[in-house]
Formats: sequence, structure tokens, C-alpha cells
Amino acid sequence: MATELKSKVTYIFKKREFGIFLFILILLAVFGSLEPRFFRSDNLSAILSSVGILMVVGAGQTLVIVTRNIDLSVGSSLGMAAMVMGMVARSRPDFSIVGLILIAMVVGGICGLINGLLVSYGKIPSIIATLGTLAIFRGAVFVVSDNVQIDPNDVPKGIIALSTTSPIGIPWLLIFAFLSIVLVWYISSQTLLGKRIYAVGSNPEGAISRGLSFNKITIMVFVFVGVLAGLGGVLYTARYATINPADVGRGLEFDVISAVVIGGTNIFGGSGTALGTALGCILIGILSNGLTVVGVSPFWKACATGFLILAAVAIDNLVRKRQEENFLLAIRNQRTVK
Amino acid sequence: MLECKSVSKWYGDAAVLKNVSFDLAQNEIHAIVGENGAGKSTLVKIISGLVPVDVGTIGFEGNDRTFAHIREIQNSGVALIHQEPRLFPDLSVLENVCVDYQKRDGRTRRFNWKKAEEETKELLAQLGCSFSVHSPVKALSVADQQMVDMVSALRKRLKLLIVDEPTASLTPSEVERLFATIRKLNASGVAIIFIGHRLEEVLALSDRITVLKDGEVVAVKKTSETTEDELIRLMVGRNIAASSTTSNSSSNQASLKVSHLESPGYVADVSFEVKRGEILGIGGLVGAGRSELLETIFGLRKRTAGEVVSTNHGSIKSVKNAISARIALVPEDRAHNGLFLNRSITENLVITNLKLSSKGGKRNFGKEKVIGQELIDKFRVKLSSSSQLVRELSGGNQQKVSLAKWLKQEIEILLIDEPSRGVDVGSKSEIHQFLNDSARDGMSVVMVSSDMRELIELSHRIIVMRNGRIAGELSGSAISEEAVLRLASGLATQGSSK
Amino acid sequence: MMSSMVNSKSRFSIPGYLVGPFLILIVAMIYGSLGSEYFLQPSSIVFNTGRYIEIGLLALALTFVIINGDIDLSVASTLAASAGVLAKLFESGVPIVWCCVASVFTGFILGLLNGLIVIKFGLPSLVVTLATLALYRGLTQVMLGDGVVADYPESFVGFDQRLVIGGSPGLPAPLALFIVASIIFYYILHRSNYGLKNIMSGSNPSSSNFSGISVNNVRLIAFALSGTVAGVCAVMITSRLGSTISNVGLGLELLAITAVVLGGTDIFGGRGAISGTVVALFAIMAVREALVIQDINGQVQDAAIGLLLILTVLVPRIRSYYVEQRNRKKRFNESQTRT
Repeated sequence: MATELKSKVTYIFKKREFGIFLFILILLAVFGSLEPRFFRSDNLSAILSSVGILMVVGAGQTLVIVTRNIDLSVGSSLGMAAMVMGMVARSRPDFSIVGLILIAMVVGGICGLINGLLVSYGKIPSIIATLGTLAIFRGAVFVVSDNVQIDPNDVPKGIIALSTTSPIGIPWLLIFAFLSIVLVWYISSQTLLGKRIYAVGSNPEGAISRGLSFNKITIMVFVFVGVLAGLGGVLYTARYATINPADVGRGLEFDVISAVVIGGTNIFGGSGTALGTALGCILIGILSNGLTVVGVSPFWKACATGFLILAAVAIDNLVRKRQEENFLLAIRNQRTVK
Repeated sequence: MLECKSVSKWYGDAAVLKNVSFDLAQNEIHAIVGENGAGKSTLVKIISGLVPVDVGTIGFEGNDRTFAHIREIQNSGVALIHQEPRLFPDLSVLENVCVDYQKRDGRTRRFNWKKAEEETKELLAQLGCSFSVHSPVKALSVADQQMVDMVSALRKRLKLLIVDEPTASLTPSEVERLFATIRKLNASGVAIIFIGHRLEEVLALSDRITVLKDGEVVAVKKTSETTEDELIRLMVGRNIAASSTTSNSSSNQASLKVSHLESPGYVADVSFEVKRGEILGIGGLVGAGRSELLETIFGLRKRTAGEVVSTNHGSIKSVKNAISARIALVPEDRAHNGLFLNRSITENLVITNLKLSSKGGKRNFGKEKVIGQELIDKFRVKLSSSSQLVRELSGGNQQKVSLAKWLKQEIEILLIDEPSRGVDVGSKSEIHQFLNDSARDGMSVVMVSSDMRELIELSHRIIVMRNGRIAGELSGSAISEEAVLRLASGLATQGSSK
Repeated sequence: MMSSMVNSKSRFSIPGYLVGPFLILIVAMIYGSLGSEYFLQPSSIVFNTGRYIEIGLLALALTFVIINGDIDLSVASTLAASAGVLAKLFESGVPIVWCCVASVFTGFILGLLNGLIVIKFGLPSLVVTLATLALYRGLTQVMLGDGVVADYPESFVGFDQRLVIGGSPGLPAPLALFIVASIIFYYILHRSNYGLKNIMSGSNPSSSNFSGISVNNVRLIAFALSGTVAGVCAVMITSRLGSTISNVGLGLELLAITAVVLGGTDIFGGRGAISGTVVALFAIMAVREALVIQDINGQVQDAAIGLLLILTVLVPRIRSYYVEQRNRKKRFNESQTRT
């Protein structure tokens, strides 16, 4: 019984996510010791708020990358969803909050569906398809809104409340972020569909020859990330209260993909966890906030993020290579000995 | 139970299966044997639905399955285990096994992982496997992965299991385990089709044997009524005799000396010599390290010990060295390692001859075309235009391109791996002619081949590898298929080689 | 079909991959001239080319990187960092000429760095250049902060308005530079040994290694080239804008990559042509300018380009799908008539 427990514990230690967690602790210690203000509760909650939206969208992007695809258009989908929702709210001030949220998610889902169809049936490589839809959706935001931005007045109090009120002591924003991560965790570790998604990324030809519905799965992950981007749009509106057709969601895709990669998801598909992505988001948030609090010029943020991505991927690679070498060697040496 | 009538299949212009009729009785273990390219893999791929039939019918348990979809066939209890991986390296054993679970009865909402885990554990135990269901598949050995593949087939109601060359990279104890599994399955009512190269295995395991040769059924024998010799004769068409070309190479000097070569995991303490004008065959089973040996000599694989010395050019340490020393390597897997499938024939031929066709780094299209045409003519590559893409060529012509690209310039030592794999009979004999002629003109040839007939007919001398080492050397009258096989499988040993 | 890529001048016919971009170019030109009588006038065409040339140069260099199987997302950030170096040196009194040299050199070093990281660590270029996109932009921000560097000498500013060949309309310097660069890159990719090695490395890296090509060297050179060109573009953009701020060139990489893919280069490598990138760039330019005349907003212009990108990839696939269906039916019928 004790050995079983011990092996479970060592198993956790070896996991990638633990490494990130450790690094987060180190950063917290470093920043906290340099500047005790860092640990104040309002600062810590500011960190979480800043990455809440990132987590929601990142949860979806994780599954996309797991299937060996990539979605560069998440920022634009988020913008589209937010704008449509904002326009509805502006023209019908008493529209139900839940209804608005659903609208945003549906709009996001439609964007995702378009991506999914292009990649699966259209057989367009996802990097190109989403490069195109990134621009198309952004243009659509402009057209739909007639280049009129949504002002704080137009945003229903209920929506803004999502980022401020805390039903159980935690802001809605964070609850949604947490739920998204948990949802993806559940799908990937507990459901057969989740395993199929990973299978598709791990060995696409194998998936087809095993009879998995390749196209359906691909469309599903893109719709999923679209829906989450829609939710992200709601949270964005809640946080910033302004939806500008030119700015909304711009550059989000970079941050999201960085977080997913830092979180240990393999860009070639087949592996990656929601927890890792969540930790990746938190890590980025801590780094960014910590640097500011400690007094480092904000201009070093981008450098830090870049280094982080390189470090994360390089470490992943070294570990993977070492594992493969050791393993192959063990097997092969068994044979050449005889 | 299974009946194939007059099945024919063409790949392009080449007929891979000609009017093949094959039947499988309930509950039998039926082996299919034949040389490389005889059509065995194609036949079973057709039976399992992976590849469509061109002509003919397939009936399974009384139903016509000629045009059935692969999922339909899988659901009716047919499973194929072959080299192309159907496993997902990043997923665990359990996940791999369960991933294509189909809901058979109406509303099964949530997948019952616990139950699946228990069932899988039990199946694995039955097969004698000791690894955990949660280990990632990529961490398992090939033999273990095969077991996982089998378990995933077993989870469905299996009626017919097809195994294609399963023993290729297994150790003898793993082979034992596999056979025990197959026998157990058969005892519980599953019919088995088994494709194997090692005849003593085939004889040990099967009830009946079908012999294919050049896409046609040559014979169907009851295992108890045939012998290995008879099978070989049927497979090959005549008794294989050692090459009648006298090896005059004993008076020639060595052109390449390999000493104590080692590449971690694949090659251990290999030493041998090749003489000018000699064709040295390298025999051995799959996984013995033959291809890896060639790659290490050529400089592609990391070498941790030992030396490769060319008599005329000194020590070979890298691919660059090798090429300057007039050594060429024609790899086993031409699609992945030898050719650029989506580029033109000319580009494929020219890429290794840039020094000749260009001046100061600047390409000369005219010269390239000339060189290309020269090689195409010399090797009689059949094509519709020189700007045609290589992937549009037939296997034999692709192999010619893979070989020809090295031969514009004088080559002293040709390392060639499986010269006629996937090659039609005509091209095969042309390639053999070429090898013989070149050897006569002084080229040294080191040839790896799993095609016993080819190996024995062409080689002046044969060294046999086993588990990364040289198991023995055969020359002159000692050369025979049996001798090679015995050394390759460890049934016989020789005193340590040089 | 791409099979005529090597000898695309042997027959007088347009290679398949150019059809799409050419069509777009022509339609856009017609549309634009309908919208404004000045559209097709040489003077208005040539004088608007300045900012597209920068994208065009980046796209030319990116063509190498992409054909060879890699990708470089950091080109715009490399440009920015190089511009930053130029600005900072200028600010501290270095003569402008040397600042420009430093800019090009910075680009070279940063590109080389990309290549070294990708090769030494064996990491995917997508992820590495994603990281350096941030890293190099960060360096730019550290160098320039919130500030603006302006006051560049008269002789330096306004490169895009200079004429190489005088008269009306004359040949603006950027266009001349682009033409020269296109010719040079054409020669490198399609007429030099390096170019063939580059294409083959993208087509099949393993076969390339087996054939004695040093794939790593090929890749390294492509990355260094991409960075160097970014350094050159940094000079151009500084001259055109007359000032330097830290978000210079933000987002250019997307347009550059679009131009490369629109021009028929396979995003996975092994197939592509300089001519494609060139025509695609002009097509993009024509589309955007035609839309500008209609007073259509920049974001929507980008959307149009995005749509065209998708169509250019989608249409051939739909075509080949129907061709494949037809072939399959043909083969089936043929096999029925065989024994």
C-alpha cells in the first residue's frame, strides 16, 4: 500500500505539469521576496483576472493543437462574438444576460464551424485556413458593426457584473475560466471522444484505418474552440466594457498559443493537458504582473515571454529525446547481448 | 468461411494479383507463403477491406463482402495486424485498445472505463503480457505493441484474425509467446490467416498452406503433407543453386575494410572486408541490423566505435567522406529515404550530380537534362516525360531512379539495400544484370537482401547477421538457403568471424 | 500541376499555380480602374508601392524558408529590432550609413540565431519563431521604449519617393529594388545548386540526407537570409516613415506569409516558386488599392485578401476531387472489361 502510494507520488513528480507548478512557485518566491506587495490578495486576483480570458480560449486551443491543427483566428472569433452580442445588447437593453451569453457562444461556434469545414472537408491546412479566417472574421466585425464601437453605456450591467461580482467569493470570470479548464480535462481524460481526439493527433492515418470519424472530430474541436472564444468575448466585454472593432481580440491568438505550448502541449499533436495550459496561462500572468510590481520596465515582458516559450519547448524536447534514447537502448541492448 | 473467387488487382500497369482464388475453412490456421512481391500482403489487405478489389468477389460467412466498407468488415469480426501501425503512440495501452469502441446496443451513455480496464487486463494476462494498461504505447517494445494491437482486435467479437509477417522483429521467446496466443485463439474458435517468411514457423503453426508466386496461386497444401523443401520449390519454381559465376575476387585486393564497427543498439563489433569486383551479400532476418550496418558505414548513423577504411581514399567518417570516396548507398525504403516523390525524375537524378551539371554553383538546365537522359537511357527507365514526377512511376522504375542517380560518376563501392523490393520481374532482372556487369568491371557491391534467391544467385560471398553481429560467413559451395537461414536464426553458429 | 516548376519557361503557358494570383491581379485591376480613372495611371500605381515592397521583400525571403519546410514568424520582429538598432545608433551620433549597415547585420544575426536554435535543439521552427517573434519585439521595446526617434537626415528619408529612372512616371526606387531582388532570388532558388538543395530538403529531408545534402546547412542559410532581408526592410521602412517607434512593422509577417502561400508555395515545403510570390504580391497590392478607391476600410481589405487566400487553396482541391472521382469511375469501368 505504501509503495503504491510512493509510486503514485513519484509519478506525479515526473509529470510535466509539476515542473511548471514548481517553476510558478519559484517565481512567486522570487517576486514575493523582491516586493512583498506582490502577495497582496488584490494583486493575486488581478493576475488571475488577466489570464481568465486566456484560460477560457486556451482550453479550446489545447484540443485543436492536440489534433495537429492550429487556430490562428481565435482572436477574431472572439471579437466577432463580442461585437454581435454588444450590438444586440445595445439595441435591446433588457435582453436577458443568459441569452446574450448564448448568442456570443453561438456566433463563436459558427466561426469555428467554418474553420472546421475548411480544414476537414476542404482539406486546407489549418495554418492557412485560420490565417485566412483571422482576416475574414476581423473584417466581418468591422462590417457588422459599421465601425461603431460599443461603449460602456451600451453594455448591460449584468455583463459587466461578470467580472466584478463574486457569487461565492470568486468572480464569475474566474469561475468560467475554471469551468472551461475542468471541461476540457473531463473530456480528455474521462470520455472516449477525448481519447479519439488525441488519437487523431497521435496518428492520423491510424485513426482513419481504425474507423474513427476523422472529419467529425476535426470539426468538433474547431467548433468547440469557437464556442469558447465566444464565451471569451463575453468575458472580454465584462472586463473592458468597450468593444472597438479594430482592437477587440487582436493578438490574442499569440498569447493563447504561447500558453498552450508553455503548458506542455506538443505542437505536433497527440499530447497535452488542460491543466498544463492553465498553468501556462498562470505562469505568463505571474511573469507579466511580477515584472511590473517589481519595477522592471514593462518592455521586458515580451522578451520574457519569448524566453519562456523557448525554455519550455527546449526542455520538453530534451526530456523526450533522453527518454526515447534510453528506451531504445535498453530494448536493443537486450538483443545484441545474446 | 471465407471465399475469394478470381480476385485480381492492378497497381497501375502491374498486376499484383492474377485470378487468385482462396478459401478459408472454419476454425483453421491457414498460412500464405511466397517470395517478396508475390502478392501476399495485397491479398490480405483486400480481405480486410483496406484495399479495394479490381476484379473478383469476396464472400465472408455467406455474405458478399466485395465492396464492403472497412468499418463494416471490422464489425463483422475481421481484423488485420500488420506492420503499418494502427496504434497511437501517445495514448496508453488501455486507451489504444478502447478507442474504436462502437456502441452496439442503444443507450450506453458513459463509457465504462473500469470495466474496460478489467477486461483489457485479463486479455493481456491471457496473452502473457506483463506491462501495465496505463503505460504509453510508445514506451513499449515492438513485440509488446503487437500484443496491444492484438488485444484491440480481440475486444471485438473476432472471427478471423489475419497476421502479416508478425515475427519479423521478434526474439525467439517473443515468437513463442505469439504462437501460443495464436493457438489459444484458434482453440477458442477464431480462424487465422498467417503470412510468414520463416518456413519452419509456418510448418509448425498452420493447418494448410497456400503458396503464391508472382500474384498467382501455385498450390494449396495440407501442412502435414508437405515439407520445407517442397514449399521452397513451389515458391521459387526451381531449386535454388548457388551462383555459378566463379568468384575471381580471391585474387583481388580489398576495396573496403570495416573493423569492429559499432552503432549503439543496432550494430555490434562488425568486421569484414569487401574485395574489388566482389558482390558481398548480407543476409539475416529483419531486425538483424543489416540496413543499419550499411547506414553506419555510409556515415548516416552515429558510430561509437570501429573504423571504416576505403583502400583508395582512407578513413570514412561522414557522408561527405563516403561520397568523395566513391561510395554510394541505395536505401531500403526508397519512398522515404531514396527519392523525392513530388519532384521530377530529372531533379531526382541530378541532385547527386550537381558538381557535374553546374558551374560555380549555378545550375545548367541543359546539362542536367543531358545527364538525366543519359541515366534514363542507361537504365531503361520507362516514363512518359522527363519532367514527370517520380511518384507516378512504377516500383521498378522508381528503384532504377534510386539507383541510377549515383551512377553517373564512377562508383567504387555500392551499398545497396533490398535491390528488388516492390520491383517487377523485368526491372528486377535488369538490376541484377547491372550488378553483375558492374562487379565484373571492378565495382564492389555490398548487398542486403531478404530475397533468398536473389541473395544466393548474385553473391560471391555471403555474411549473415544476427542481432547486430556477424553470425557467420558463407562462400563457394557452402552457400545455400538453408545455411543462410540457420545462421540467421541462430540454429547454427560458426566460429567467430574476422 | 506543379510539375513544370523547374522549366517554367520552356513552354509558353502559365503554370497552374500562377493562374489564381494572375486572375486576382487582373480582376482587381479591372475593378480598380472602374472605380477611378486614375487607378491604372502609372504615376498612381508606382507611388503607392512603397509599403508593399517591404512586405514583398520579406515574402521573397520567406519563400525560401517555407519551401525548405520551415517557417519564420519572426520576420516582422526581426525587422523591428533591426530598425531599433538603426535608430539607437543614429541617436547616439553614428553616421546614418553605418546605422544602416548595422541594421542589416542585426537582421542577419537574428535570423542566424533562429536557425541555430531550430537546428541545435531540434525544435519545430513554428514554435521557435513564435518565441523569437516575442523575443525580438521585446528587444525592440527595450531599446526604444515609448519614445520616437525622428530627425533623420533629409538625404535618408523618403526613399520610397525617389526615382531611379526619372520622368513621368519614372521608376520609384522601392519598385526597382524589388525587381532586382526578385531576379536575384529567382536565380538563387531556381538556378543555383543551393536552390535545388533547398527545394529537395523541403520535399524530403530524409532523402536529402541520404543523398549527401546537408539539410541543416540549407536551413541555416535560409533563416539567415530571411533575417538579413528583414534588416534591409528595416532601413526601407525607417526611410519611408521618417521615424521609428517600437511597434514598427507590427503584423507584417502575416501578410508576407499570405503572399507566399497565395503564390502557390506549399506551406509544408517542397514546392514553390519566386514568380508565384511576385505575382501574388502584386495581386495583393492591386486588390488593396482597388478597395482603397472604394473607400473600404483596411480591416475589410485584409478580409478580402484572407478570402482570396482560402479560395486559392480551396478551388484546386475541389477540382482535383472531381478529377479523382472521374478517374476512379474510369478505372472501374476499365477493370470490368479486363479478364
